[in-house]
Amino acid sequence: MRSRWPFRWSAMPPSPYVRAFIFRATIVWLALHALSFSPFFTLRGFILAAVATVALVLLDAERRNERRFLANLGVSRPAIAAIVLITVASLETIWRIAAGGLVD
Amino acid sequence: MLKAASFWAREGQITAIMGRNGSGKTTLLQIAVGEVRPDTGVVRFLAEPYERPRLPVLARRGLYYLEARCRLPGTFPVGAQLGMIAERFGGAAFDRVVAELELEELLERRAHELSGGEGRRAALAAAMIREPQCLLADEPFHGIAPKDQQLVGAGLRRLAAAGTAIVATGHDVSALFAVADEVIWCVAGTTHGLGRPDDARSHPEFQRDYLGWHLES
Repeated sequence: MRSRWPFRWSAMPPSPYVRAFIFRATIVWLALHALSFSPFFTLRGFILAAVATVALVLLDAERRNERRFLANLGVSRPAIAAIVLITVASLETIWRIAAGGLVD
Repeated sequence: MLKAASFWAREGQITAIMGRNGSGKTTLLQIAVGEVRPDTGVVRFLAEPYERPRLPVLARRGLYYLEARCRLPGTFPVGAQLGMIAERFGGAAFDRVVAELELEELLERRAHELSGGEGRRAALAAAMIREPQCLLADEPFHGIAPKDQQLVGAGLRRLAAAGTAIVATGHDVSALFAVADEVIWCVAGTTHGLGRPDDARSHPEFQRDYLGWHLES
């Protein structure tokens, strides 16, 4: 039976690459926080941080020749972006909780 | 500039696309995998038309693309990268491919630590382990030693014997003619099927305009 669920496991990177993208997204997110001297406790700040992190991780994957290797495995850029976005959202959530709740 | 060009890949055969620099050989492959969008035209893969092909989608259906001077990523050791492919698509051929391409001593190294020929063999190993339905290889023999060309050629013939449809481009006339079943000549924005390598070698315009002084008397 053909699945109607749009998410495909076959479109996700192998687990070593998933760990690598989570690690890189974390490093970029920390660097953006440190350079901006901002806690990102606004929706606009979060969106900018997420977009910047996704763009930088994708550019880095292109530079490392990973993007085409993963494309040959059936992994698309949106799949990589999804991993990065989930990582950033999780980090933001943890950061907000650690800082004492939502602050707008 | 390509005006009216096409190419085809037949199961179990190696098709060589040849032409002078700038004739559009690489562009044809890039169009096939969606990296370049043509003004008109369609890509057909496994009888399904794709007006806007994307490599990840085609790869899931059995296409593998080796770009020119392709190397595996240097993120993980060569053995780990090949293992990922084996795990995703089936790894029965892993040891055989590593032995055929003489990669045993290179598995713990990363791609950026390999020489040109070693890197090319490692990249081809990824395709051989994948055992795709169709392999598009852009200049697989370019810039590597004759011994490595032999190994790459044997690897391509092995894949073809297993049923893979292969398209390879390049200027390495001897290496390509040694493995190709069919030659397509890309010239003046169009493509011409010249038949088998012997037929291509004796084609008057191909001799004059492409082979030139490479022609062996």
